[in-house]
Amino acid sequence: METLLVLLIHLLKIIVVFSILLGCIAYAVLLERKLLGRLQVRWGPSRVGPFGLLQPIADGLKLFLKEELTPTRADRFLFVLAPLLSMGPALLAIAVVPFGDTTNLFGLLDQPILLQIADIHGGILFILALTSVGVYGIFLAGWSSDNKYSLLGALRSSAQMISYELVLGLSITVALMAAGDVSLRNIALSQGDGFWNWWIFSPKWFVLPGILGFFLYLISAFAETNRLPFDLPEAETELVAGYHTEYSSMKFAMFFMAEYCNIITVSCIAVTLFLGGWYAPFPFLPSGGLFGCVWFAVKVFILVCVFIWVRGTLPRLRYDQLMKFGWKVMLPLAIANVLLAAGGILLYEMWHGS
Amino acid sequence: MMLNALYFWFFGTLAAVCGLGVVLSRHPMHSAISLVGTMIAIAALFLQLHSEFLAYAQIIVYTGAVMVLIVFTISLLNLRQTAGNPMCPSRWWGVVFVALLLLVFSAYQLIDKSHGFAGPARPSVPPDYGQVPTVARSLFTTYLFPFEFVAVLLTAAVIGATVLARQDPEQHPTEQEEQK
Amino acid sequence: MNNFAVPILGIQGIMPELLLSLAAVLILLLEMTAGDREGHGALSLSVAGLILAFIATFGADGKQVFSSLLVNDNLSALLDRVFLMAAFLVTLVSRPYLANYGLAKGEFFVLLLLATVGMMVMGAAMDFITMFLGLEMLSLSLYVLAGFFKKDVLSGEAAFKYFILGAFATGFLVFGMAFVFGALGTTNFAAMAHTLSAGSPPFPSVPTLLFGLALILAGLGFKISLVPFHTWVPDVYTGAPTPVTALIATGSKAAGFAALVRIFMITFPGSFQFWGAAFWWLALLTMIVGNLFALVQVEIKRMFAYSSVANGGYLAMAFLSHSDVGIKALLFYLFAYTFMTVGVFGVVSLAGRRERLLISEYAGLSRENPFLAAVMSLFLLSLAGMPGTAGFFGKFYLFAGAVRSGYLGLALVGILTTILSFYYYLRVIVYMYMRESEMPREALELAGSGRTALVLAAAGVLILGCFPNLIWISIEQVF
Repeated sequence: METLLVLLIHLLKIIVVFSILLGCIAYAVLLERKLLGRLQVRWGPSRVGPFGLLQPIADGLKLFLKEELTPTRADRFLFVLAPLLSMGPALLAIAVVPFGDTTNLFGLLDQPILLQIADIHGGILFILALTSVGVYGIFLAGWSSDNKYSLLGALRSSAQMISYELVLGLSITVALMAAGDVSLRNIALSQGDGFWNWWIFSPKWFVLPGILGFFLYLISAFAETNRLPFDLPEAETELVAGYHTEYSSMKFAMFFMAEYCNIITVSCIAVTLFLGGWYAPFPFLPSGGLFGCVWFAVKVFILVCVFIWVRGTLPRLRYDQLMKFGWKVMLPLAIANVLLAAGGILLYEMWHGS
Repeated sequence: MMLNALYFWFFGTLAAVCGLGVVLSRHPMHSAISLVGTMIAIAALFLQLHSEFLAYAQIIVYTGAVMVLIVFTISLLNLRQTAGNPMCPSRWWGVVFVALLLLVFSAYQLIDKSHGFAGPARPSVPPDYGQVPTVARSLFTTYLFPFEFVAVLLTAAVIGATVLARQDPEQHPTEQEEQK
Repeated sequence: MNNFAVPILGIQGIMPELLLSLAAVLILLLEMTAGDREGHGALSLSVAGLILAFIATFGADGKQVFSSLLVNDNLSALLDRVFLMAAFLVTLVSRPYLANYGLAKGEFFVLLLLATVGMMVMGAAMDFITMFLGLEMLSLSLYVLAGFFKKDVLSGEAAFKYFILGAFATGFLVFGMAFVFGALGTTNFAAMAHTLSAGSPPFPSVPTLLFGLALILAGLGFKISLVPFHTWVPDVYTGAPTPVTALIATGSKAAGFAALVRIFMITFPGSFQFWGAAFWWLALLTMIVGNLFALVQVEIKRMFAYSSVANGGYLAMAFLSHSDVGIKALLFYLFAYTFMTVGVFGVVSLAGRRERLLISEYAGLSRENPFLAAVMSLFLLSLAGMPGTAGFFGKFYLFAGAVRSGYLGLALVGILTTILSFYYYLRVIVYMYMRESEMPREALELAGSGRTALVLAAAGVLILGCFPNLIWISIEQVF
């Protein structure tokens, strides 16, 4: 009975989180179009439903009803596998994100439940592992299409993702060192209410490593999600549409969704690692239980807006610039940052005798 | 218990099937992708053995870096069709022989406990076995030297790769034209 | 949460390795900042590093450092000296050699130093993990060094062959280590020996362990090129740049033997009855095959390649002697072998403006360059085992050890093949002194460092040959 209940609760959590996530993905698309519209001094979608709010549903219907095309010389198995490999890891990553502390749903339950699907010990490593599998989705899509633009896009993307994965890993190391753990829940718990207790501004070091780490993370997250200014795998001026040139209908939709899902996931990770997770920016504001989820959502929303803002503002890099930037600027900075943070933590702990 | 067994058999079978896929696929790309599958399945099995860090490291390093490079190379070589199956019968015998040999020796240790060597008493698995903090602690205490030495080793590898891959500046523009 | 006991570091235990790595890093930095085109800075830095490391080996205190992963005993110190000497001589020889081909780059010296670090770690390893890492360091650097002549097809072929076969052998080695770990539950040599001595069931009931040891022997047998694991030797030795060949033939081989000594003679001496026969056959085959093939070679590097294989056979004989006698004879021969082998390959590096000369092309060398011909003759006589040279005492101790342990037949084969080897060693001398050169062959301008290296090697051969006690004293201290 007991195990059944646990299973049921988990199942419920999974259903709730994934339906919210899918909804968020759909509306992130709308948000992007709307915001981009405003940034370019136009309206964005406004015809379907009030303020264009039903636009995602219309888009979804359109994609469903489109004709499926498979190039004749495509490698069929990998052609079908690729979008799944892109979508799967993107969705899975959300499973370890802590949205809040615990809640008993306003007294409905006698046992508080975690506001997280699974609190696994190696949380952040799990996410890094998923990211590295995600490369295959894009790569195989480009390769199996048997189209040179697709292949070029795929090659670019895998090179880009491998290069920036290093920086990504090193930039989060800063937060991991401060928290002394890799479980996402424990990292969130190691911060606290009040923005000065978040790892981005933490006094544990001299503030700089936190801010630098956060921005390094953000930049490499742009690269990892193939977003502007790093969207070379699908640069339309050079590569038609890059790795998903040959994809249409639902298979294309899966790549599309994977991209937005990745944006949300990396924002969630950034919030958990650097921006205090579910904690409120000021101690007098409530952050327990479901309030935490609200703070979390607000922070993620802001970060997603930053993603869109950057897309609306910055031009695309050239490929060699991207690689040079990754290896010659970002990586040394990230390594230096790790050392700086380590020194800071050591000094802090010597000072406070921890 | 049921779930545990189910988990094991699922990923065990997946690893074996993908392993066969590596050997039997006609296209190198399919072989490489099967190898990726094997590695992920094995990582999942590591998870079941409480070797959490190992599991993630396996995926990050092998799937995320090593195999990507292999896949990269295959795609650049543009090997669309390979001529027939490279496995001639005599090789099959060799493969079967080696596989059986390894199977027998591995099984021996597992099944025939009475003949096993009385090594140091194997302590029961501590609760934090294989988790990231435990691994980190032993890496930075007991195995500090290998950990640091690997850094030097990788430096040597990087230097070596650069030496072999770099085009010598003096021969770059002129000599290539001469060859034409 | 963050508190844990800081381990006893024992930095002083890895001082030589540390100094060499430091020198390597400094060379890299120098290359990056100053653009050391001629390689003078790289040469002086590596020479300084090697000398300092050599001095540091005298600080051996017999302690195990880094949680018993390394040991800093007299054996490892002596082995370190063998490696450092080989690396030192090779460094000196490579300077004029590389300059001749316009390849005097800092990376060459960096990789050379790092390979030496790998050897030293292998020699000091008390654990499979460190041994494996040392081997990898050594092999990786040597793979690259073998292919350092990028424009030369044969050099590339050598690197590729060495890499593929080396990786395969490493696979065997690691697999063997895994089996031994499975049987004994530890990777530490001391712990293994302890487990074995305390173990209640008789040894033969552990086929897993034996299988593992067999795999390890095969993997390391590749490194020291015992027949039948020697097939890579001729092509790699011939294709690689000659100073690199010298390092592969001496340092790398010595490191392989060091690992075998640590595993078989020190950790598992009690199971001699199982691995003894394997060594007997390997030594026999290696001596016979190496010498017979060396007889028929026309290219000088290829001939020395087979001669080096044959010497591996003599060295393998040491494993049949009672452990401490065997180790001492092995160490002595390693010293002697290092001097003479680096010597011959040094001469080969400097004797011509192009790679891979035929033996017949050495005709008339005595007239053009009497110094080179003289030292070459000395090294060749030593390799043949002429009394008064290092090779004589080296072989004497090895054969005597085998005879004392009751392997008269094997020792006889050793002596017979040695006599056989006189033919091909002396043939070179005959060519150098008694034949006129038919075609013009320009020897290299002997720069200071090349000449120094050859003089040092010759001095080593003579000193070991006339006063073997000088080195024997420190060898006696091993146990």
